[in-house]
Amino acid sequence: MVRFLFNLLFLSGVWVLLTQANADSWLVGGPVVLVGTFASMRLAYGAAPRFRFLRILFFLGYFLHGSFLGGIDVIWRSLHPGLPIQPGLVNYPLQLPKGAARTLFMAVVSLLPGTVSTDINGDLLVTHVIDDREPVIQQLEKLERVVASMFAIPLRNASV
Amino acid sequence: MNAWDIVSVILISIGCFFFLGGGIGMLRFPDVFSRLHASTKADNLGLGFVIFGVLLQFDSMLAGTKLILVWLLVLMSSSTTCHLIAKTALRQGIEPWKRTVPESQKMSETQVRNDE
Repeated sequence: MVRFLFNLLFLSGVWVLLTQANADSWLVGGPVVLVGTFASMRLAYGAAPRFRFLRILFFLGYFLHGSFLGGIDVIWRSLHPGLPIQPGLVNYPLQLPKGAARTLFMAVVSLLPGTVSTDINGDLLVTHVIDDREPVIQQLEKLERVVASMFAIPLRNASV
Repeated sequence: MNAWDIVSVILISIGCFFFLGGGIGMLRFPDVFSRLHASTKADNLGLGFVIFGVLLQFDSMLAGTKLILVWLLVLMSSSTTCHLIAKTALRQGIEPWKRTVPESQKMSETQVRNDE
């Protein structure tokens, strides 16, 4: 119930920001926020996630930096006359448990340099990489540690 | 035009350059998987720059926050869409494109040919 109210308030806040607090917009926003809240409750997996707030800032910095490099990297590859790509599939054993942390991890993987999260088999993440000569596994491990520490989830060999 | 306008123009131009580069990647990359790299990553960064440039033209905090929120929502949806397209393609049995000759080998072969 607390989680329902929290999600309801959160999504209402998002709507207020998007419509710049236009009162008339609630005609659409009211039903949309309600449907969104029910969907979020239905799709949620496990207990509500916990966050470490300072680590959220660290994650944001890492994410912005990574997505900047990701964009530069892919632009460089597409404009280079020799098309320097050597794609392949890389399997990555996930340590993050099912739930919000894993979902966030998989979303961010697609925005970092050279990786697109493609499929998941149990705890194995299938990643499409644009160049399998790059140190992709190390990059995924680093991201997983950053996400885990933000959600206060202990990992094996965690050292962030 | 004041200094902020010039900064805006520069930022938005950088953003457009990323969109253009992503589009070129879409055309040049060989298969659905590598094209996803180009569209997802380049467009996100391009949109980030465009939004940052437009942000400088707003006086109100509320409008600025709205723009950043729009960027975050686009990030979420494009990342999710990218994953869904890649997953569907793989499960339908589409084989990712591979270089028949690894690039490092190709380099050394041409070198060998040049040496001869």
